[in-house]
Amino acid sequence: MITPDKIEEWIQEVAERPDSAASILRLIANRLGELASRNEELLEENILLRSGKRVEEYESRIAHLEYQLDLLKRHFGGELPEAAAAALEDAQLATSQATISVLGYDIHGRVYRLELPSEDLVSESALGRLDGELIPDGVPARLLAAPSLEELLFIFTSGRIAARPVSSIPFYGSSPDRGAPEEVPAAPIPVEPRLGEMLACLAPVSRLPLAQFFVQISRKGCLKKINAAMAQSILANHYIGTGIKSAPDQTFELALCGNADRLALVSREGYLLCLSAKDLPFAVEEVMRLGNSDHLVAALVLPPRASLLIMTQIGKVIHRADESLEIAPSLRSKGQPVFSPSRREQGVRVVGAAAVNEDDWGVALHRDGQLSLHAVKDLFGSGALDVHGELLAFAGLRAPLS
Amino acid sequence: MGLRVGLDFGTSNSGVALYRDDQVQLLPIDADSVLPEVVKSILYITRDYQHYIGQQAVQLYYRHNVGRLRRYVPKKAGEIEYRGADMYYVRDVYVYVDELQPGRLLQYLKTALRRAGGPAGYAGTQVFERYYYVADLLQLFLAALKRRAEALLGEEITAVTLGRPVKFSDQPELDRQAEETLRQAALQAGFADASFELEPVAAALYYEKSLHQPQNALIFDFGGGTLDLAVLRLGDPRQRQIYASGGVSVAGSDFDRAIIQKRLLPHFGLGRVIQQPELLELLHTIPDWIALPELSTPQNRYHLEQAIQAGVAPARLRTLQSLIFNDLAFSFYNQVEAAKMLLSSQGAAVIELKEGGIDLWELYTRLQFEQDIQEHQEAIEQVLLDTLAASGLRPGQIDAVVKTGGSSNIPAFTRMLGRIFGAQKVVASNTFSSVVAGLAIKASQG
Repeated sequence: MITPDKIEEWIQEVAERPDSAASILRLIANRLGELASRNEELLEENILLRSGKRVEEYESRIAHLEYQLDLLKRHFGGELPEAAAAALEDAQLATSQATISVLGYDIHGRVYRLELPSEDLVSESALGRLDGELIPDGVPARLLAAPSLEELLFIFTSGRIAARPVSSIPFYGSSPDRGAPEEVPAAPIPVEPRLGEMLACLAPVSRLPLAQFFVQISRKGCLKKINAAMAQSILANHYIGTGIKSAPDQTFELALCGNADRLALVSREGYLLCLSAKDLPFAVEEVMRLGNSDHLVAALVLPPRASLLIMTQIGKVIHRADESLEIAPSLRSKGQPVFSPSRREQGVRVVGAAAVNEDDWGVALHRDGQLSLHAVKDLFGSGALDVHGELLAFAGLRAPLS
Repeated sequence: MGLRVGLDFGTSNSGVALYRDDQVQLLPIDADSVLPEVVKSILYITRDYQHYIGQQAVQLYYRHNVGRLRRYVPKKAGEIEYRGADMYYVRDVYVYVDELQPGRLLQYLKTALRRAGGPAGYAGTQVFERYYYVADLLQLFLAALKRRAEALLGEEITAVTLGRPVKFSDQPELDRQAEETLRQAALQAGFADASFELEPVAAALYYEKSLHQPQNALIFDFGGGTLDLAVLRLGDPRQRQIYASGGVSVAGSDFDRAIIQKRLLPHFGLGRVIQQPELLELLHTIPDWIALPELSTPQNRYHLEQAIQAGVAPARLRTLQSLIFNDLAFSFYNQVEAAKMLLSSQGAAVIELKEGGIDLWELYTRLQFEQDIQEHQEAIEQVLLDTLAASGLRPGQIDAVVKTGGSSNIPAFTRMLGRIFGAQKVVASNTFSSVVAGLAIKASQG
């Protein structure tokens, strides 16, 4: 913005300090050069607009965006134009041929990976035996079942994170044809923990673009919500924060959710707390009051119409149907007991929980390292599973497009 | 026993120094800064209440905020009661809150300290779900400085001598409160002992190290937030005497605001926007960059869009919209400050902002700058003469005028000092470090 008054002031500056003339001239010349180049760009743009080429370019871009939108709708089950039906069948065929990975991992960062076909799963079947120390430093290994195309976030107790695709972890195959491998050794450690930190959890994050929040949950019932919009910065910094109020509490789980979701927290001593994601705090707050000897063993997001399956170390199945899950009216509650105090006194403890539908599956890790696969409808039918010694962990398994 | 350090907590910049073995050691507190011994007095608090200072805070702020998404949700702020017809009504009041805001950047913490006193004073600020009192903010900043200094020295720091302006406030009670708030913040930050020294006196202690014979000196400490003056007898520590001290709350940040008000508002529509009070209010908030991000509300976007569609200075209002909604206020202020600093060494500089679709270019000369701060210059000369009068000395009895602080490099003030005292008496001490160096010397004396 150059006005006659300003030009007059520049001239006064030169009259006052002749040395300024050179720098004023140089600065104005630089600006003129810039404006000349900008003017040329605008003239070119004008030619493209008048000739209609720019319109064609935008039409082509719009068509491409519409195509991408269709792809997304197909992938996530939105409304589909009829013309896309054939392409959807192809996509379903390709996805159904995808495999599922069952991952066992411990605090030292050791990961065991077994790969299963997503179809022809057999209930009550043995998947293989994890070979190694399964309760290092008194903390049992944990389980996660996820599509093999999934992206995993390794979250450490220091708040550090690292992303790795599931497919980058070496695996052992298990199928009805080949049978279960005798022993499944740990893969080379995918992300080495640094001095003083431990692997807290593995979190699947491929649905991140559809999530509104991360929820970071600590072992002692504290949590914080983080806007998914910060994901880029979190991933770029490799740091999400410890998510705890004070030591010795540690990060336990990271979940992705939307405002309408519910979060279920289940403790080892058998307490269940169900919270609405929209009410969760952005600052770290204690949301579940746990006893001194208690800690969380599962923290999961409940999709609509999903039931909660809770597994004890003796293989007893506890089922909470969708309609019976009550949202806690306030934070910092103790939660509802899922079994009687006498059972608790007898030493019954929860080892895991999963949000499931009738058609889903569950994977259990036994004390002797054996991994077993169970249909959820069978578990609900029998109310228990056969246990080798005791159970260490349990995880739900949802086949792609099941 | 731990170390005793000097800590200059300035409006714009801060620093920490240690005096040991007859040597001042300026600590490179901010490794990311161009001058590692100078750390910007800036605090950035993220949504998960992590906090960062200095250059790290600035970088993180840029990374998190520039061009980010926003999502405004109504949040209940309280209730109002009003009377209508023959009964009282109670109505909820909601404010729009940006739930995607990743963090808050806080600058001019020392100015907040000056405004903290009194019933109507600035008590603190809400950062997401937490309320931070001024002392809490200061404590976070001082604790971060202490941690960094200890990491550099490899020893625990137990005691600190903090600099303070000659006047936090003209009212003695508020002045005392401000010092006490700073002391409490230092103690909470982990210093076992916190003492104070006037900033110009600290600068004098450092200058005194270079003297071989006693002399009368006037310290002209001109930083980002205040001008502090002291007239002293220096050169013989046993006969050191403070004749007078004075100050005024005018300094670098006021000059930045003057530049924006007088030169840059037309780039955002001032002069073309006439009958839209909502837009005029936005325009007049521009000089206060901390308030600017608060304006990025859906209502303001609506007002701006309406005016742009109606053809009211559309290009300039688009520039204003981008400044507000792309969080470019901090960048903009930095550009203004950088140009102002350049004018200390050259006759002309360009204030330029080319981000978020903005193409702002303003050629600014030293003469224009001196015209724009004329009012401040007169106030400063008056305070200088008053302080000199209070010392009982005449200009001819002053042997040296020691200038320090970023704003002391402005040629208009060097000329003013030369005119009053004689150009040969005006000496420049270390611009950014003489106060902290003097504080370290003071700290070493216990």
